[in-house]
Amino acid sequence: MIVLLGLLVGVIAGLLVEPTIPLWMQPYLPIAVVAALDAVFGGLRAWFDGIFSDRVFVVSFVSNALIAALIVFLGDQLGVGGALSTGVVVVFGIRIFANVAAIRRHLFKA
Amino acid sequence: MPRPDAASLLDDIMRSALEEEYEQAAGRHPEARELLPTSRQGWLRALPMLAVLAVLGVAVAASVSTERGNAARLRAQRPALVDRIEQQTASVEQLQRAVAELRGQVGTASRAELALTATGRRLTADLTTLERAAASMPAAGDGVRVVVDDAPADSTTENVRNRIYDTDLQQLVNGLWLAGAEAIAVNRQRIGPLTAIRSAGDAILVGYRPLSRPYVVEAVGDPRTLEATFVDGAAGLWLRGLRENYAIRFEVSAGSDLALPAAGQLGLTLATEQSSTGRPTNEPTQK
Repeated sequence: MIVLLGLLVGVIAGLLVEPTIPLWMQPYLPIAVVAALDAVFGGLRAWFDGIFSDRVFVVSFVSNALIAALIVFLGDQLGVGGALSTGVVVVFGIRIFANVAAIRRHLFKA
Repeated sequence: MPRPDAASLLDDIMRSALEEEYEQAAGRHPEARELLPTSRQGWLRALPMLAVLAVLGVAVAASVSTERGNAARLRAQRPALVDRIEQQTASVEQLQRAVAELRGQVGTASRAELALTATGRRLTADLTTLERAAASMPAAGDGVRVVVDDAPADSTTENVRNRIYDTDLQQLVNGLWLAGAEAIAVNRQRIGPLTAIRSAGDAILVGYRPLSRPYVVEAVGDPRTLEATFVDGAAGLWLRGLRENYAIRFEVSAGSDLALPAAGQLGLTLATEQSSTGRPTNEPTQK
């Protein structure tokens, strides 16, 4: 519930203010968002499993987003181009799928 | 012992999708699982979570709106780019027309000059033969008109559209030469001895300029023999085969009063130094 509340507040604020992302941030933000989404789905699954902990959620959220942005930054600096971002998206994509599948099992028992 | 390959890596990612810390911290914060905090203390505890989620919301909204803005900007730039391409193409065409006109003037002037002397008159005869062979003069006369085109869209087999390839056009043009054509143009592009017919991506290029469908090949030659010799020759057989088996369009008709333009620019690739007697030396210089 509080999750939805926080998201809602953020999205509404974002749409009202329409912040333009500074150019240096543009390659990192989408990846960080994907990583953060993974943390959100992980938290949601833990909540359905009955083991949710806000501390773990906040720590995993922040570290996921930071590490994802860092990896993309590192890839840029090393000159491997989008290869590392692809790796990040693949890993978090798989994790999101796995977590959503677990949530779905909880919701629909299927 | 896990398998040390990529499949086990993916398995690991799937299995560890849930942060292990959730399991370890299980049961320690039962109040965090309530739908809404009930006490003031509960709200305070939830504050960091609320904050990071709000940040995520802002980030999502910002990403989406930035992406939309980028897409809109690209859409807005497109017509301008298309305009510029069309403008440049038009100006290239205009310049090419000017070049052709000036070349014609140079030809007329040099002929007038050459006509003054006996040597010049002999050279003029040579020049005319060479220019005809190099396709550097416009050609006119009767001949044939061959139209080929891709198969219509509804005659596809196995989802592959039957298309005319550069090799088909090469066969066609070579067949026309064999049948005795004196001058050939594809879609008003004259074929000279150095004109290449080849493909780049989906387009067929003649002399490095892309053609648009349908392909109209005009050939000047003896109208009594050209059409029959061409249709009965190897190229005619090839294209008739394409028409019967792949529904390719292939039409041959007599063309009267065809006027073919001169071929594109003739670069100087070979030059001989004149000795003082006016005779060429034996060593040509390749540029």
